[in-house]
Parts: sequence; C-alpha cells; structure tokens
Amino acid sequence: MRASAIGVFAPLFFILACTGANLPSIAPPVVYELDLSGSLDGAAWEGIAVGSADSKHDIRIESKTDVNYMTIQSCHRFEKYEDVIIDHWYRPKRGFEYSYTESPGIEDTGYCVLRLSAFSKQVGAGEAYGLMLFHSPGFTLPGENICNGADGATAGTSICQSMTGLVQRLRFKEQVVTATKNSDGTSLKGQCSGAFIDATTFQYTMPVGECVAVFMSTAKPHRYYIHLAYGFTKTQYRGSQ
Amino acid sequence: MISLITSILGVFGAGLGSLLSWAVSWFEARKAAEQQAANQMDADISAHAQDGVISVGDMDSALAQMDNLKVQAEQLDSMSAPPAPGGKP
Repeated sequence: MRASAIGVFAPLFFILACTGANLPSIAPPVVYELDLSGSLDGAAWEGIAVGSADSKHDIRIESKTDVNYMTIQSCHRFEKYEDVIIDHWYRPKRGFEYSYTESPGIEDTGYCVLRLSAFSKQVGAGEAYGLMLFHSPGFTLPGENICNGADGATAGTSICQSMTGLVQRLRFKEQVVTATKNSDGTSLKGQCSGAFIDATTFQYTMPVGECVAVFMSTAKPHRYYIHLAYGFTKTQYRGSQ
Repeated sequence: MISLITSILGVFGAGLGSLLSWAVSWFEARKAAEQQAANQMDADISAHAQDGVISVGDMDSALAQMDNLKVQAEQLDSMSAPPAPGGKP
C-alpha cells in the first residue's frame, strides 16, 4: 500500500514541479516617461507637445548630456542625425535645431505623430524621447484636456502623458460621440479605453504606451477632436545629468 | 650620500610607477565603461526600431475611428433631416 502510494505521488510531484518551473513570468512591459525637452515654435515643451496648424515648425531640443544619435520620425519620414549635441569645453553646444515642414496631405492631417528620440553613449545618460502632434483644420472641436493634474482648454487636438492606470478626462461644451466597435463586435485597434460619465465628459484610463481617441460633435456641423494618450510605467532619474 | 640619493630615487621611482599603473588602469576602466555605454546605445536604438510601426498604428487607429464617426454622422443627419416635400421621406 505504502509503496503504491509513493509510486502514484512521486511522478505526480515530479510533473507538478516541472510544470511550475516552466510557468511564464508576467512582467509588466517597461515604457519610459517621455522627457526630452526644448522648445516648439518658441514655446517650451517637455515630453509631449501640440504644435500650431502652421505647416512649418521650429523645434529645438536641449540636453545637458551629449546626444550622439538622434532620430526624427513621423508617419511619413525617418531622419537621423549623429553627434548633434556634443559638449566640449571650448565649444559648448547644448541644443539642436530642427526645422519641420509638414509634407502636404500626409503630415498635415492632424493625426501624424512626430517622434523624437535622443540617444547618448555618455556613461549613465541613456536615452530620451518626445512626442508631438499638430493642429489641423480637420480637428476644430474645442475641448478641455484634464490631464495629470493640469486642466487646459484646447481646440481640436490634445496630448496627455501620465502613469499607466491613472484616470484622466476630456470635457466638451457640447454632446460628442466616440467611434463605436467594429461591425463584428471587436474593439477598434489602438482606441483609448474609456466611457462617458455624462453627455460631455469622457473618462479613460492611461494605457501602457499609446492610444488614440477621436470625438465628433453630434450637432451639425460635425466637428472633430483628436486626443493622444501616452502612459508610462517607469521614469528615469535625470538629476545628476 | 650616494645611498641616500639612491633610496630617494627608489622611493620616487616606485611612487611614479604606481601612479602610472593607476593612470593606466583608470583609462582602461573609463574606456571599458564608454564602450559599454556605446553598446547600450546601439541596443537602445535597435529596441526602438518599432517606433515607426507604432506611429503608423496611431494613424491607422485615428483613420478607422474617423471612418466610423462619419457613418455615425450620416445616421444622425438622416434622423434629423426634415421630411421630403410630398410627405414621403
């Protein structure tokens, strides 16, 4: 009896032990806070920015550490620059100037995100990122971006950056609707997950990474509003840089 | 006298040698750290190569949502449209 019990439980224990060892570990994805900074059309920005409806923009990127590799990427272009900020004692250079002229019909649509990425090979400096969206005549519905402790009136376009899982709101002066699910009941890919708490206030949770929400006023003329949300899971200490 | 000079030179030489040794090891450590940081930068650049995919993903999502909203706009407008002359909608 005792021998047969061992005969049954020993292989079972072995199988369970091996199964446990192979369980996948569920680690949350690491998404860093956007903290590249500088100025956009003369106004200071940090991490995220919404530019004017002009087709040409002056972007300045500032860094206390060297930037050895810089990429500027949109829905249309990929540009790279090497050694844009190298701080020599005899030639201090803290900023990088970039002139962005939107490509008509592709980049001036209002939903073409501009991504700035800066990489440094200076020990401990790492990398830094920024996101920009630009006003467009296609998105003119006024709204209120209640984001990360700030409350700002906007016209047609907004961005919010905060920690993943935190609750944010968008408020409008008139009744609006969001896009509904696909005809097969599936969710629209990349749409921010949230709900209306009343006819004019939309509440959503910051995603891991990015999501987009487009709103339309129910009254004629139907005007549109676009919102980009960026949720981060980790921040980087830059104090010593 | 000669032995005193010899011993002073010996002490000085030993000090200089250890200083040089420290300087060489410091430069080597710094070079290794810089190389490691450069390798990390290469890895970071490779890791973010998917940004273009994300960028187009945002655009695709916005376009899909706008298409959906345009259909809703047509439905809203048809509901609020006045009846056609003659009584038939």
